[in-house]
Amino acid sequence: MLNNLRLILAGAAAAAMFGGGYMFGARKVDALEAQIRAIKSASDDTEAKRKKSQEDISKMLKDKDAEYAKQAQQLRAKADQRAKDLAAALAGANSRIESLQAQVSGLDARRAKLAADRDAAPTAAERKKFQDQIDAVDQEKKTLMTKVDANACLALAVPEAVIGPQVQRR
Amino acid sequence: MKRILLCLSSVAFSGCTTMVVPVVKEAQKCEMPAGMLAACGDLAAIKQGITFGEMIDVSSRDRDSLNACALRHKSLADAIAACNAGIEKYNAEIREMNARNAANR
Repeated sequence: MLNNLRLILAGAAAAAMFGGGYMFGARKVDALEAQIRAIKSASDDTEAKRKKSQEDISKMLKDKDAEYAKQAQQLRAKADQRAKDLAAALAGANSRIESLQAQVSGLDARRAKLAADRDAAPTAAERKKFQDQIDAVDQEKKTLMTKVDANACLALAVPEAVIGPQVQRR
Repeated sequence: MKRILLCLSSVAFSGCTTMVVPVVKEAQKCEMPAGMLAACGDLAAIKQGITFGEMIDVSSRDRDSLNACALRHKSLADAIAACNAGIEKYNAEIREMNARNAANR
């Protein structure tokens, strides 16, 4: 009987101590839990912002890549066209030379006729008139010959002394 | 007596629950498109005995290559600047949130 009473009293005392201790400790735990909840909420908010920001950045980079690809394609198309034009221009050098030389031959014939006319002219004034025309033809021929030389130059090798250092450069 | 203590202990421990502690997340990534990271093209080769006409072709190819490289460089620089702006915007939001939290304490 006494043992049972002691057991009940000990149980009641233990329960009272547990309840009291729990209530005392819970005051601080509640505050800590509220703080942790606030931290977790802030963390979730930050994570949502981070995900949104990362998505925005990824989309922006994708758009930039598409824009770059489009511009690069346009650049390639222009370069290809320029390369074709240049190849055609270089390949056409001989035909341009032939055309220019034909014009030079025409000028030579004209000059010969003017020279004959000048020599046959009766007065000094007429001779001067023909000579002026001959000078003009000579100037025109000089211009044509410069163009012939420029076209002919395309097929000539660049002097070794000039191109040598460039050949080594990579 | 032992049984009572065991019961009380089990009740007490049942109040201990775990809460997920927030962890530090990975930083923002700026993964540049592979096309923009490509190196510039090599110089066109100049052979011995090259003609003036061929030299014009070499020059033209180098100019095209430089144009392509310049475009790539500009696009890459633009993308990096835009990416930095995106990160800065995010950081500004975080700074604002931190300031708000500090004010609430």
